[in-house]
Amino acid sequence: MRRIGGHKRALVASLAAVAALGMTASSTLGGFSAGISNSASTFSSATIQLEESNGTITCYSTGSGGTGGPVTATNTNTTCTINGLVGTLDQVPGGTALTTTLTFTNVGNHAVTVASLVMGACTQATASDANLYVGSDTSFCNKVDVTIANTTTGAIDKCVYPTQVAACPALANADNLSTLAAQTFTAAGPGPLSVLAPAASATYVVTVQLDSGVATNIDQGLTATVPFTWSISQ
Amino acid sequence: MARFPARPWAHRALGSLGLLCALLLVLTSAAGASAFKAVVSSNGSFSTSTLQLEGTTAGPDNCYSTGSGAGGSVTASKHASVYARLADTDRPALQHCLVECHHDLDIGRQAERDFLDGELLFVRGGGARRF
Repeated sequence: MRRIGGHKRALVASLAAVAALGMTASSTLGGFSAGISNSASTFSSATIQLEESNGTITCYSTGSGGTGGPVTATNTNTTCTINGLVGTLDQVPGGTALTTTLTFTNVGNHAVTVASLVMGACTQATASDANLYVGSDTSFCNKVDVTIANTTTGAIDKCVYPTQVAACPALANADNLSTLAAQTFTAAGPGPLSVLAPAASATYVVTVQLDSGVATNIDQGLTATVPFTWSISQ
Repeated sequence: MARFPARPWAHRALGSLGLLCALLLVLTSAAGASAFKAVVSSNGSFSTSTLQLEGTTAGPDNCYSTGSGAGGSVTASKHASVYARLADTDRPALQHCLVECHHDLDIGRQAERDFLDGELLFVRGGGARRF
């Protein structure tokens, strides 16, 4: 028993010695040092936001009512009400050509390298004011002549459709909404579209007319619709 | 030393598996690539007008260039004939009166009209004109 008690005392004494040594070491050991803490280290991403305007209506890729706003995973606005073919009702063969000017601006802060225009399929339906008095043509899209010009200053190619060489030719039935449908135009190649630096704009002019040579009475009271999808990416 | 016979099916299976893995790798790589992008999509529409001639008579029958009532399908014919049937009691001599109306989209603005009797309404753009 005496021996066990002796061991306990020895253990307690050892622990006390170690503790004392530690305290003295921390208080007596020293040296020069220097340090910097970067508490403001950050990493930020760029923004790419596309603005489309026809002079009356302005749409943003974010779907917001103006610049800014939250960005979704697709950053795609599918509810823009701008009519790429003007949309004026009651067109007649050889009537005054309809022209709309579309202006696109990169309102983000990153210079994009890709721009594209994807045309959807052309579909036809009864015109909204036809009062059920409609033509029987099932290929109405073929009767609407169209050109798309890139009028941006410094544009590599002035024409987007039908050719990608210099200025667009005059309207002709060889180039109509059916032949335009489902085509994709880009800035690669070089292509006819303009890539956009931050705050830069590109302007495109779409011209359409009901062809006077091929349209007949069966083309009365009809509407042709073609989706336009414009995009820019890094 | 024992030699096992060649198994072509096993070689083919291994080859197919390799191709499958390569394809999977390509697909997953493509799906994994991402880039910032901004898109605006809208519809463009183009609509034509209508030009339909209506002939009204003193009798019970009105006539339309389409050969039907108001509305209906339009044919390609550039010359639509409108037969206006007059009431027998009013003008027996003109029981079957021919009203021929040339309506052509190309010359719509100067559509010709010809009628022998009765009242003819030329309807255009929602308005009516009495001759």
